[in-house]
Parts: sequence; C-alpha cells; structure tokens
Amino acid sequence: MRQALLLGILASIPFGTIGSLVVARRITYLAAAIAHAVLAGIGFSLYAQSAWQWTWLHPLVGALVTGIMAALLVGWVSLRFKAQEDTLIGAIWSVGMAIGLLFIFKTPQYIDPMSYLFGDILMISSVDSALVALLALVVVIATIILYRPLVALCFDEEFASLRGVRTTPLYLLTLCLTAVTIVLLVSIVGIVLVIALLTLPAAIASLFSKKLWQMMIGGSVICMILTALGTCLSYAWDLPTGPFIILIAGASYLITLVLRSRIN
Amino acid sequence: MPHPEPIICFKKVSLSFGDNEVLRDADFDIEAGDPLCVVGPNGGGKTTLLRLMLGLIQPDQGSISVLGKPPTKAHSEIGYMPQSLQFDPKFPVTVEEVVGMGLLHPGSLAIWKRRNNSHIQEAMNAVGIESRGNDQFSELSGGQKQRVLIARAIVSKPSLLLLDEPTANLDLTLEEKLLETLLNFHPEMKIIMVSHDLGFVSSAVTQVLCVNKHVHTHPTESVSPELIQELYGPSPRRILHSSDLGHDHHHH
Repeated sequence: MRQALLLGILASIPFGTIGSLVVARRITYLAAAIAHAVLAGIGFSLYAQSAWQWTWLHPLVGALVTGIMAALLVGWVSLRFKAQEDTLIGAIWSVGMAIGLLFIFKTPQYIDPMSYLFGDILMISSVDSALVALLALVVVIATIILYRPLVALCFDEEFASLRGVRTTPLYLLTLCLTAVTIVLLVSIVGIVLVIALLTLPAAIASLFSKKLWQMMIGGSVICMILTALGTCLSYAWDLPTGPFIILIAGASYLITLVLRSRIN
Repeated sequence: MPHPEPIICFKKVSLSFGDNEVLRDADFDIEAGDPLCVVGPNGGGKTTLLRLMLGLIQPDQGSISVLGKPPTKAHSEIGYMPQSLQFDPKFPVTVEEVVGMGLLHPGSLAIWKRRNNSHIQEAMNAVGIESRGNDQFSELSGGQKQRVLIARAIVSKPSLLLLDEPTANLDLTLEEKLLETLLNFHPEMKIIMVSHDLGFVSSAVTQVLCVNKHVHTHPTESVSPELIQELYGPSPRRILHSSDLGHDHHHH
C-alpha cells in the first residue's frame, strides 16, 4: 500500500496540472479515447514479454508509446476531420481496446484484464514509482515553460495563432502530455476509470480559481487528498482501490457543486 | 512610422464558400493615414475581408499584401479584435492575463518581461478598465469584455489595427471617443474597422470601404442614399449621419 500511496501522491501533480488543461480546453472526450487506446500497448507488452521473452518491455513503457501514438492520431483527426471527429475518435477508442484485449487473450500466461481496466494496487512496483516520478517531472517542467502560450491556446486559439504561437504543435503536445499523465495512474485506477480522476479534481478546483495556474495547483492538491484517502480507506475496508477513489472523487464534486450553489 | 507603400493591397481577389460567392474581383489599396470603416449588409463579406487581411483564410484567386508582406508574415504588426469570442464562460483567466495575450510572440515562454506589465497597465488605462485587472474575465459585462478585447488588440502598439464591430457592446462613453482614445494610445496606428452602425461611421471616419461581394472605397461624404440602397437593399431601417457633414442623410 505504501507504494500505491507514494505513486498516487506523485502522479497527482501532473493529474491536477494536465487535468486543468483538459477541462479548460474541453477535450475530455479526446483524453478518454487516448486512455482506452492505451490498452493496445499494455496488451502488446504483456504478449511480447510472455511469448517472445521481451522482458525489457515493461507494460508501462508499452502504454506510454501507444498513448503518445494515440494522442497524435486523435489530435490529427480532431484537426483535419472536424465533421467526422466523433465517429473517428470513437473508433480509435474501441479499436485500441480491442487490440489490447486480443493480445491479452493470446498471451500464453494467464492475465486478468480486469486489473488493467479498473486498476490493481498489487501490480505496483518500485519501478512504477520511479517512472512516474520521472514522467511527472517532465509534465510539470513542460507546463511551466509553456504556461502562457498554453493559456492563450485554451482561451482563444485563433488569437494565439495570430500572435505567432504555434498552436498545432502546442495542441498535439498538450494531447501527448495528457497521454503521459493518463499512463501514470493506470496501474492504480485502470484505463476505464482514469479519466474521472483526470477531470474531477480539476473541475472541483475550477469552482474556486480565477487563474489557470490556481486551478492546476488546486487540482493537484485535491487529487492528492482523494487518492490518499481512497487508497487508505479502500485498504482498511478491503475494497478495490480504483473504483473507491473514483467514487470519492465523484461524491466530492457533487457535494462541492451543491454547496457552492447554496452559497451563491 | 507610416509605410510609404499602401498598407493593404488587394489584387483581383475572389473567394467563395462552396456555392456562396463572398467576394468577386476585389481590387483596391488602402493607404496609410486616417481611420477607415468597412460597411455593408450582413453576409456581404465584411468579416471575411478582415479575415483575408489577417491571412486566416486564403483567397481562391488573386493576391493580398499587408504592410508590404503576405498577411501571415505581418501578424506581429497587426492588432485584431474579433466580432465575437467563443470561450468557455467558466474559463479561469483574469483581465490582465487576457490583455497580456496581445504581447505574446513566437518565442513566448515562461520568461515574462517586467515591462510587459506596464504595457498591459497602459492599455487597460486607455480603455478605462484599469481597476478590473485582477477580475475574472468571465465575470465582466458585455461592454467591459469588449473593452478588454480592444486593450488586447492595442497592447502591442501595432502598425495596423483591425476591429470587427468594436462598438457592438460598448457604452456611449467609450463609443463616442473610441478613435480618439485609440489614436492617443498609439498615433501611428492605421485603424480599419467593420461597423454596421452608419451613425457612428459617418461621425467617426472620412473614408468607407463598401463591401457587398464587390468592394469600393468612398469618402464618407459620398455615402449617398443611392449607395446605401445599393448596399443594403431598398429599405434600410435607420441611417443617421452626423450634422457636421452637412448632408441630407436622414433616412427612415
């Protein structure tokens, strides 16, 4: 549980940061498609490890590579095929999952896909925590460096491009950072539930933020509290960690919304 | 400094959106100097004309140069205020941050020059929103948002300022002295604005660009009832000209 707690706290920083961009830019649907397509990489890594003894291919690495590929594909589709965007993104979403499930099914050694779909705290190793720490650092540094262009991109893309901000590469980079972030917490909450943890803490923080950086910091702190609380309580009550964290996050969002509307 | 060559040069520009022809053989120059208004009926191509000047859309035929360059190469010297802004009403951004977006440039990264803050303050002062800098943009009224967008367009002190319906939401206090305010802020700026408000146009500028698929330039004095009828159809609702023009231009 200590590993899960550490990983949850480390990953909360990029979750609050990138989650704020996803919520503010309204690209939750794209982020969800990337999250589901990640299963293709996980499935392939597990198959390659077992069938071809590619032991170096950690599922997290496979997930990361497919996540970035899916992000670029989703970004290209959303920029070039606006009219058919919904259908095409939906196709990437389910085809990615289908490929992953087929690889898992054909893997000689039995693997329960449930752990990857909904998270499994027992899967977490110290290698995961080290990778998560490294990726979290990359996400945070990239966001700090690109903060002003990112705010302009999310607020008014056309104006940002007129001011010389290279909006297409920046948009694709945002999606890639989203993919990296999603991969960070897949082992705890799984690919189906991860999107809720990406968006709910940021959405709660948005209710109290005047600026995007305030939403990012607020989202990170809220995500830390939710993952820590969820991990500890689920451990104490012997409940699956991923779904329990998401349940607390959903309840917190609803309660905050109700309280805020009462105050107003 | 004013540019010796025309600020904007359209050569035989045509543009259609599908079967809908928006501009046909637009061929005109806009010289440096006094502000100019683009007038014409709804759907006549006014906003399209501004978007062509900005290089946001490309013509089907013909060529455009802005400040002696292709429009996309002139972006850093153009200030622009769009007609409407599609933004998330909950987006967390302050007035100061929105105005500061006008100072972004291709290399804008985390390093933010301190003098940018004084430019932002100066632009906010010019349009009378200096006390709202730390307020959330989404909490402002329509007129205040419009002031913020004007400040964002002028903060970089551009050579060319393109304003799309700048008076649509403005209260009279700023509308009446809009051009004076803008030119006080940066006298060397060539201002081109789209407006459907002919009362404002006739009192504010000396030259108009009439757009209705074709483009013609006219001095404001020659905006006659016949021309209005040609542009807007047989029954324009209400056109008021300022008295100083001395023309019989009250129509109902």
